[in-house]
Amino acid sequence: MPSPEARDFALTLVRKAEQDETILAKLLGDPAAADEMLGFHLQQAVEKRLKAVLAFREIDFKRSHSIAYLTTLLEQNDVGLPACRDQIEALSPWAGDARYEDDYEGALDRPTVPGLVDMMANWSDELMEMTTWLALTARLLQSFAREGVYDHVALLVQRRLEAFVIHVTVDGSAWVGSIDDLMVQVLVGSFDLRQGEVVSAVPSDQPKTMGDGLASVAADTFEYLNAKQVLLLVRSGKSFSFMWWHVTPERMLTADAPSDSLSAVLLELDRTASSPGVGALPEKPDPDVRFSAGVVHMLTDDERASMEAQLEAFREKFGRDPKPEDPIFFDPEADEPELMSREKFGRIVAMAEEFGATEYSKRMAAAKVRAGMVARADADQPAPYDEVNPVPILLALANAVDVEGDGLARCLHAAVHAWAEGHLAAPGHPEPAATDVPLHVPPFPDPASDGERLEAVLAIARERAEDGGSEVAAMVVAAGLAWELGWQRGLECEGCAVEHADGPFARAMRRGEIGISFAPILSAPKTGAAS
Amino acid sequence: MTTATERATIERAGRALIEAVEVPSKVILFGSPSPDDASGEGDYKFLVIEQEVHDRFGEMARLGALLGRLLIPAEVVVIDADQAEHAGVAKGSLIHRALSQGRVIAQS
Repeated sequence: MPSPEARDFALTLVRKAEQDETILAKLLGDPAAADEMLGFHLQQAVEKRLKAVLAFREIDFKRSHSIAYLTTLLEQNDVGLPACRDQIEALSPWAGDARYEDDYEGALDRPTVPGLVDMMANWSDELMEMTTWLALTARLLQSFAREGVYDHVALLVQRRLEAFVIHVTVDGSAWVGSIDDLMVQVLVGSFDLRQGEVVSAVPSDQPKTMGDGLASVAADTFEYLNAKQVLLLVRSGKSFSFMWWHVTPERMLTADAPSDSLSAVLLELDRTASSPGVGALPEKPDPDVRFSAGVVHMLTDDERASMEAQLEAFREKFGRDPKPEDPIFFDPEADEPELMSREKFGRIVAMAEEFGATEYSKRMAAAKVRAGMVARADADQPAPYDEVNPVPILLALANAVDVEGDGLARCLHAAVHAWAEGHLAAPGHPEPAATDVPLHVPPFPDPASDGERLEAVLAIARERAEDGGSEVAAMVVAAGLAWELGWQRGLECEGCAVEHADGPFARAMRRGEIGISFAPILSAPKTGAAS
Repeated sequence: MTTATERATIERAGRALIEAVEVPSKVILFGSPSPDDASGEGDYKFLVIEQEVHDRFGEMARLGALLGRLLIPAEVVVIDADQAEHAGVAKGSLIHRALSQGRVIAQS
């Protein structure tokens, strides 16, 4: 990881590149805009992206406009170059002094410009680890948890964290996407967003812990989901897009054309909101707020799969296709199609948080709801989900991301740490119990007695990865499942030496500074699902 | 003052450029990063005069990339012999400055 100074410098260069990219996006289709102006901004955007990566990697460079010099410098430092290397190296003359005196009209191949811009943005984002959203989120939350302030959330905007998506509302029924959209609510609800910048931090009456914040936000999210319109934020390669989604009477999801910049959206909001300036983002979308002519939003594959899974569940439950008046997200325990209650919805959200935050894991949670597996509130032991604090799990994930070895090793690391957190979250653990039994401190899974269960968790995580998911998603699944297993072990536990659970050793374990070896499990053959 | 390293860099650039263009041609250095400047950095500036140039922008891009891949940060301006004769007359212009104040570092 780069030093904070290097990272800040690199991010400044990225923001400067985005300014050039914004101008390009606005002027590219304008025949009155000269090639020289567009070529200059294209060269500048590329130059700054390259310099951002150099800065991020802490490689010194001269203040040159020569793209080939910058790419070669990267190459010599073993940094992989974008596939468009030859194309971008030919851009250097656009920034040269000679441009003042020559006519280069026609020299710019305009149709190729958007592709080059996107390729460079994706390339630099990837090299600057800006696309591993969960890892970055977790790292930010580490800082957040340590310092207990919301300022770091601003970084989520500044560092253009990936995808905050999917609030779908249909006839008051609800489906929640990833934990990211909760973060969106945090952002939208907690910051005064004006003129493209985060200009103030959270008000003093806002929750001060991440767990509280998410719980509060989940409730707010439900309110949003019951609206007919939803504010949607999507990270699209190089920037956030903001749009309102609408639900038509025909159950079509429609969205206004996305705005390509935060500042453009905010300007529009300023123009349409009744009280421009502070609080320009309304608590709920105003039906009259529109940015441009409406377009039908195409569902992503993941969204479509979610909807189709829900449709299939409806057929299984009721033996027929849903009618127009039937809710899409129905109560799985009701004999007739009924809208899922707010309480049950809250339970799904809490479960999803426990599982760790992916769309996949939320679908798993929803599947459990449908299968009647979430009646834990009625079971002997109360469901733990209301008290789940996602921060320790995210911390475990953040540490796991840096673990050397293959993806399975990282999943295992996430799993054993989440297991320990689940164990410590079980009832009875806040107070130390008197026991003579030697126990792990903190209570990690025992390879002898827990190895089989942990192996099953890893098998599910592996399936997740093989199912087209990312490694991070697999880690999240592993962590979520292991947390639950750890919690169950905690219920059986007569009491562990929790007086040391916050000691230096335990804290070092949580920080990932002390390794844990589960070599037999790593080498075990693939097995089926968890028992 | 030009250091030995800079002299070597300039010589290397001149050789690379003159070998990359048709004979006869000329390479003029008319700007270089000044070691006295606090920023101390920037691009070398070369004017390459070729007998004929069909795609001037493309030729500047090609020669600039050639030096860049040698890790020589440079702007390469290309003109043909006819331009050298006429464009250089306009005082204050880049080419006038290059022709009047630059020095030839390679020719063929």
